[in-house]
Amino acid sequence: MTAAVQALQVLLPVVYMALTLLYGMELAGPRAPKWARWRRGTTAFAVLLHLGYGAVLSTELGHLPIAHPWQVVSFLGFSILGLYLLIEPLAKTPATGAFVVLAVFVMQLMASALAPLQLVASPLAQSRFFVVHIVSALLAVAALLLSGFFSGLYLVLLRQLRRRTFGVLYAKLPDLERLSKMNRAAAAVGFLFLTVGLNLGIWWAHEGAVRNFSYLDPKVWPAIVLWLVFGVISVSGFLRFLSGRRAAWIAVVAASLLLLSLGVSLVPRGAFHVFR
Amino acid sequence: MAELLDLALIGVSHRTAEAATREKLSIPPDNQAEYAQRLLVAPGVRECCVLSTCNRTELLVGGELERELVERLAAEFGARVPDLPGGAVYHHLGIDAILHLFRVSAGLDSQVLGESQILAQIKDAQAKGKESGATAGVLFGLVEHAIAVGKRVRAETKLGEGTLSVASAAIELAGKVIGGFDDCDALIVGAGETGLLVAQHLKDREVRSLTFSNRTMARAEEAAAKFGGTVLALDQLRDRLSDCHLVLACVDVFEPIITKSHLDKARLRRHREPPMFIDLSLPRAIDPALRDRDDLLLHDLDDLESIVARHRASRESEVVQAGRIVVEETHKYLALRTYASFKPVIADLATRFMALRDQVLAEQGVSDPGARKLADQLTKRLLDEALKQLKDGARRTLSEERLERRYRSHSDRS
Repeated sequence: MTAAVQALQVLLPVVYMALTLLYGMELAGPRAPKWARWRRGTTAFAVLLHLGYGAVLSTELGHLPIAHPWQVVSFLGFSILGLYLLIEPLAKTPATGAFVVLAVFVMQLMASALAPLQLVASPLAQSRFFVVHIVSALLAVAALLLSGFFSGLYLVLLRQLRRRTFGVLYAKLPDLERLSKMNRAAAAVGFLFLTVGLNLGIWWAHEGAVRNFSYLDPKVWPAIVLWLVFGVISVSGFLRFLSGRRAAWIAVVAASLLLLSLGVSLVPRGAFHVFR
Repeated sequence: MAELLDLALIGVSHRTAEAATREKLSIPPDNQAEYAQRLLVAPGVRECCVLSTCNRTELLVGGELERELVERLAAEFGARVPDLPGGAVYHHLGIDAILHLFRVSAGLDSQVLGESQILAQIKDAQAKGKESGATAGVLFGLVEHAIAVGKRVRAETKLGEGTLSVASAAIELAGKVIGGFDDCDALIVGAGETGLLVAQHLKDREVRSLTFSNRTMARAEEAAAKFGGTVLALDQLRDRLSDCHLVLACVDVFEPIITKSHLDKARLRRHREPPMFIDLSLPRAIDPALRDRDDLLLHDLDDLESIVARHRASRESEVVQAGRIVVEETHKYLALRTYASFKPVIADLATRFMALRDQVLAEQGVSDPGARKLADQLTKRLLDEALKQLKDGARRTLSEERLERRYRSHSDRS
């Protein structure tokens, strides 16, 4: 591993930690110190730094850094941040960002701390199909996790309104309608990427790229279920039977299952699929 | 600290007099220019600015003032009310007048702590003073600085955050569910004072449709005509209630007039976000048992009062910080004024420096452009250093700690 990669692996969590603090300051309102205004600049710096990290790793490996589990975690964190920044204008407040950036910070910290010292190139990652399949799938996962996160905030705010606890979250969170829109937007993005990733993966498998392909694979069938679920959530604005609260519950449950399935299938074995 | 006697503030406010007295002492907008001109006749008075709102009437006077003159002007100001209670009219001189004005612009002296309307009223007073020619030069700059202080306090503290009115709190609460009101169909049950107030708030937020329901149909029709809404008879509530996104009840009743029987479960479930029912009536007009339903949200006056109380507590916790800003800005203003008084000296100094430079260069017969440029740079650097020392000196002549003590004593008296 080159000095540049090592330096970036240390620097990235530090920058994300600073960004978490800056986003956290948004919850403090006008009493936030003056340096809280550096949020936008720091966000841009973090994005550029992470892109640089990806570029350096790609050069070293000869392919995109998406083959090793901790590279995947880092890529996922970056995707979550990128998609959040696209959806943030819908909220009209950066208050929700503190939680998102905290999650990205933890993901990058883990990715940096647990990354193996030796960089090993993956022959599979040289394939263009593989790259498009994995990148689409990871972007979909990032969007679906965000959908679950916005839904979680929706349910927290609804609970506060019902229980009449008008605290900091009541004051800072966007309204229920806006959180619902953010949920639908994230679900729609996830649905689109999952459509690409899933179809490409299945087509590729049928082309004989893998042995023992099965729809019962612990990644394939849940992905199809999630694809259907988030497809419904993304159009829930037009569905009378699916209120904002119901859509939020479904998204939270689906995102939790997605997180669980990712953790179970990715971390202990270091591979996505049962088949090879 | 030397007492400035070039500035005074005379006035009456909600802190010192009741509404009836304030009303008698107020100066209507049409008479303000005339009143200012009358003040300018007094010996030593060069400028003045009249601020007259429902909570205060204050005269800001500038010139070469003597304490006796200010006391006489204050007595004349109060003389319009024959049996004026003692202490109703106050006057502040010099730094105290500046501290008071900055406190007022910050909203620290307002009846509703931190309210922002006062800033617009000060701006208006400044504009009227400028128009009549009564507010110029020093006083204009002071009022300008006061407006900047008000803005800074509101930007850097939570003093102006959160509404303190129950009607606004109701709309704020509804906004937490509905978001943009442009897709919201609202029903207001009751066309009394509160009903009209919430209707105005909803209209300001461009609500999509407004329906008024009232026992007296004529009043509902009057309200509907005023706000561009429609009317609904009380006995037809059942037909519309479940379709509205927001229902506000502000009506005098003996028992709830909106109950479970008025609601249609199927129609309520068609809403994307739960419809919001807000009961501003006492006794309550919406059955409290509806709180247990999960297809709507019901809030009453107690909930709104708790929101208002939180806002009030939040504002009160900002008073110390806002006071610090007032002291800091007063210090800054006084330093700027002291420095401004050096301006003729500075201009004279610059002329002398340049003349000396030219004289020395001529005596030495220097004609080399490089040497002349160097001499020019040296002169400018020396002049800049002298000005910097003057600025620092102006700042040092005023101790911020002493100003803070004075502010505290001023606040305790106010």
